[in-house]
Amino acid sequence: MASTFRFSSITNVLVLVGSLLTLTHCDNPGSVGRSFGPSDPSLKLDTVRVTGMTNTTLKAFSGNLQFVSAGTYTSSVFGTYDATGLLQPILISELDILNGDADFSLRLQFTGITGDTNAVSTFEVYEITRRWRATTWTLDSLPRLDASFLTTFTVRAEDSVEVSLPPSFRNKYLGYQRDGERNRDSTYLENVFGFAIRGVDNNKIIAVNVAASGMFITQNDTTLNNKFVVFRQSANSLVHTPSTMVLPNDVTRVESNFSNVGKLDLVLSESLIGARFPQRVEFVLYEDTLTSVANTPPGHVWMDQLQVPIYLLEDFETNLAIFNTPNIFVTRTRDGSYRSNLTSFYNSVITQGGQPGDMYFLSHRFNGIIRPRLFFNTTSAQRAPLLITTTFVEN
Amino acid sequence: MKRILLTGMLLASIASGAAAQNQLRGLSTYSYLGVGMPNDYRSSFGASMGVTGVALSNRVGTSFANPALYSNAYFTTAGGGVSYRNLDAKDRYGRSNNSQADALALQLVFPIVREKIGFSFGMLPVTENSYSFSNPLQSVNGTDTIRYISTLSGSGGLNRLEAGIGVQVTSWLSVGYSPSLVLGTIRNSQSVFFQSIGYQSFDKEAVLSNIGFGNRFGVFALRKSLFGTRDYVALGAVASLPVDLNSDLLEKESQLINGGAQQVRNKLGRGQNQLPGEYTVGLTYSPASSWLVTAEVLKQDWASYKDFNGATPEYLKNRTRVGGGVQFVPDGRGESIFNRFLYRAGMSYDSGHLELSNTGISTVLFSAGLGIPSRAPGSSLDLSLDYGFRGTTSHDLVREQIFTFRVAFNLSELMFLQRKID
Repeated sequence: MASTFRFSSITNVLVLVGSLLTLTHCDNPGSVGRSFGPSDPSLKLDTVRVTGMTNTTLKAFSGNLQFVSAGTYTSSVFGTYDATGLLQPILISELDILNGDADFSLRLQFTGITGDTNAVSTFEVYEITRRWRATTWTLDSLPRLDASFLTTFTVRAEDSVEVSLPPSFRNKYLGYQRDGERNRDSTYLENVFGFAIRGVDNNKIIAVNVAASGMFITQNDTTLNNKFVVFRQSANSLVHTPSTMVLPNDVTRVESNFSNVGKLDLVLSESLIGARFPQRVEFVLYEDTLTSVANTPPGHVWMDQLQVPIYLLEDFETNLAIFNTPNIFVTRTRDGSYRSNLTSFYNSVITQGGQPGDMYFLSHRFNGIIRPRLFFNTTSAQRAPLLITTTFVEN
Repeated sequence: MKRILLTGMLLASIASGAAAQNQLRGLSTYSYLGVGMPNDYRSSFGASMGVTGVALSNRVGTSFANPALYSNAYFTTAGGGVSYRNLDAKDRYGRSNNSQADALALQLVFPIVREKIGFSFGMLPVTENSYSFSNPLQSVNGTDTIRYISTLSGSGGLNRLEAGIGVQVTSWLSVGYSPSLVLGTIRNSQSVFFQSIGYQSFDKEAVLSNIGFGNRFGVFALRKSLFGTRDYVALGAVASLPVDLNSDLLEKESQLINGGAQQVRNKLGRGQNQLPGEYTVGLTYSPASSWLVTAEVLKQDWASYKDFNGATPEYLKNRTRVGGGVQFVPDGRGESIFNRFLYRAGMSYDSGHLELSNTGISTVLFSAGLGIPSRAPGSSLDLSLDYGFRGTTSHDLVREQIFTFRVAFNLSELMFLQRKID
C-alpha cells in the first residue's frame, strides 16, 4: 500500500501541535544572568528631621469621655494634678419596679491608677448641687458641691469598688422615680445633678471606666429584680499646678489634654520627602523615659496606653474647641520610640494637593486619663522627632 | 484558497496564544541587551540544515530567505508553523528553565508569471526580547529586615512586515527585492512586591515602540550540469540594508496607593534606533537528485547599531554565522512511507552579537529534520529539531542549552487556472 499524506492530516497535526503549545509553561524563571542583566533596585533609607517643636494650649470639652479621673497626685516632673470626676445616673423610667428600702451603691470599675500603688487613698463622693452639661464642660470648669460628702471609699490597688450610698440619696432618687407626672425626668434633671468624686490624699488618681460603671440598686424584695443604672453623662475637671523642675533643653513636657499640646513644624511635601510616591514614610518621636523614671518614686506608676494622637488642625480650628478625632496615631515600639507609618497619609497629601493643617500632638489619647510625657524636641542631637523615608534607587 | 485561509486563521490563533505566553515568561537572559536577540529567519527546509536557505531553491515551500527565489513560484503557497523552545540556563549562581511557544513566520507567495515572476507577502521576526528574573531581596532597617521580591521581565521584539517580488532575469539568474515595514514594541518591566508590611509596592515599565522602512535585495544563480548530467550548483546572496527606526519611549510608573493602583508618572521620549545591515551568502551543490549539500555565511554589522540615545553599546560586536547541512531524498519508489520523506541534517556556528567581559556569546546548534511531502501538489510539512548551546558560565556569564522543535507547513494551490476535470 503506497503511503500518502493528505491535507487533512496536515491540519490535524497543526491543531494537535497548537493545542500542545498552549500547555507550555515556565518551570522556573530564576535569577540566572543577574551579572549582566538588569540590576535590581535597592532600598535607600533617609531621615528628615522635624525643624521645630513648640508647646501651645488649645480648647476642648472634657465631658462624656471614656474615663473620668478622680484624685490627687503630685509628680516632681509634671506637677500636681487635682482631678474631680463627675457622674450623673439616669432616672429609671419604669414605675413600681424599685423597692422602697432598696440599697443604692456606686459600682466603679477602674481602668487603672496613677500614683502610689502601695498607699491606701481615700476618695469622697459628693452630691453636685448645680446643674451641669457634659457637652459644654471643660477641664477648668469647677462643679458646685454639697458642703459635706455623701460617702467615702478607699482604694489601694483594686480594679473596682462598690460604694454604698446613704438612704437619703435613695429617698431623693425614689421621690423622682416614683413620681407619676409626665415631666418627672425633667424635674429629676433639674434637682438631682449626680456625684463628684474627689481625692483626699495626694497620692493617687483613679480612672473610672464610665461605660462599665454605674449605680447598682439591690432590691430587698425577692420578687423584684436588682437594677444597674448607667450614667447619663460624665465629665472631668482638673486643676493642674505645673512642676517648677527645670528640664534639659532638649526635652519638652506634653499633656494628655489640650492644656499643653506639642506642635510640630512638619509639612509633608514632595520636596521634603524627595519622592512623589516613596515606598514608606515613617514618623518617629522619642520619649525621654529616663528623666521620667528617674523622678518617679518606687511603687508609683502612670497609666499607659501606647499611642500618641496627632491632630491636623487648620489655623481657624485652633481658636475653637477641638471636636476632631485624631488623624494619626503614633504607637510605641519595642525600642521605646513612637512610630507611625505615614505613607498612606503622605499619598493623600500629595494627591489632594497639600497637608490639611498643622500637626499637634498630645501625650496620650484625650480620653480622661491623665498621662503626661516628656518628649525629646528638635534640639536633641540624637533623638529629635524625624521622618524616615524609604525609596528605591536604580543601581 | 479556502484551505489556505482556514489554515491562516488557525495559525493566527496559535500565534496570538503564543504571543500571550511571551508576556508571561522569559527565554534568553541575553535578550535583555540591545533590542533583543537577533531572530534569524530560517526557511522550513533550511532550518534543519542549519541555514536560512538563500541558496536553496524549493518549489514545494515558501521562504523569505532570498527574495530572488519568489520568481520560482509555481503554486500559490501559504507557509507558516509553530515552534516550541525550551531553554535551560545556568550560571555560577543558579539555574533556570523556561519554555516558550511561538508562531513561525507567515508567508503567502503568488506566481504572477509562473516560474518567472513571483510575489510574496508576510511577516517575519527580526529580534526577540524575552527574559524574566525573579529575585527575593532584603534590606536591613535598624532591627527590621525589609523583604521584597524584585521581578524584571522583557517581552516583544522587532518584526518585518514585508512584500517582495522576484524576477527570473535569465534561465540561470533571478533577482528580488523586498521592501518592508520594520516595526515592533519592546517592553522592559520591573515590579517590586514587598513581603514586609507597610511598604508600597510598585511597577515600572519602559515601552519602546519602533517603526522604520527596510529593504532587502536578493540574487540567485543556478548552474546545471556542472560536473555531470544531473548535478547543479546554486549561489544565493541577500543584502538587508540598515534600517533607521523611529522610536517612541514611554516610561510608566505605577504604585498601589491607598488600596488602588495609580499611574504616578508617565514620561515620553522620542529618538531613533538603527538596526544594522545583514548580508548572507550561500552555496548549494546537488550531485544528484537524491543529495544536496548547502553552506551559508551570514554577517550582521551590530558594531554600528545605534540605540535610542544614539549610542552604540560597548557590548555589541559584529556577528558572523556559518552553517551548513545536507539533504537526502530516497528514491520514493518503495512501499515504505520512509522512502517518501526528505531527510535533512546540519549545524551552525554563530559568533553572536554580544561580547561581555571580553567573552563572545557564541551559539552552536545541531539541526535535523524531516520533510514530508503531501499528496497535494506543492504542499509539505517540515519537522525540525535544534539542539545546541549558547554562551559560557565563565566570567559570571550564562550558558544556555537550547532545544527547539518546529512544525512548518507549506500549503499550495493552483490559482487562476482552470482545473481539468478527470
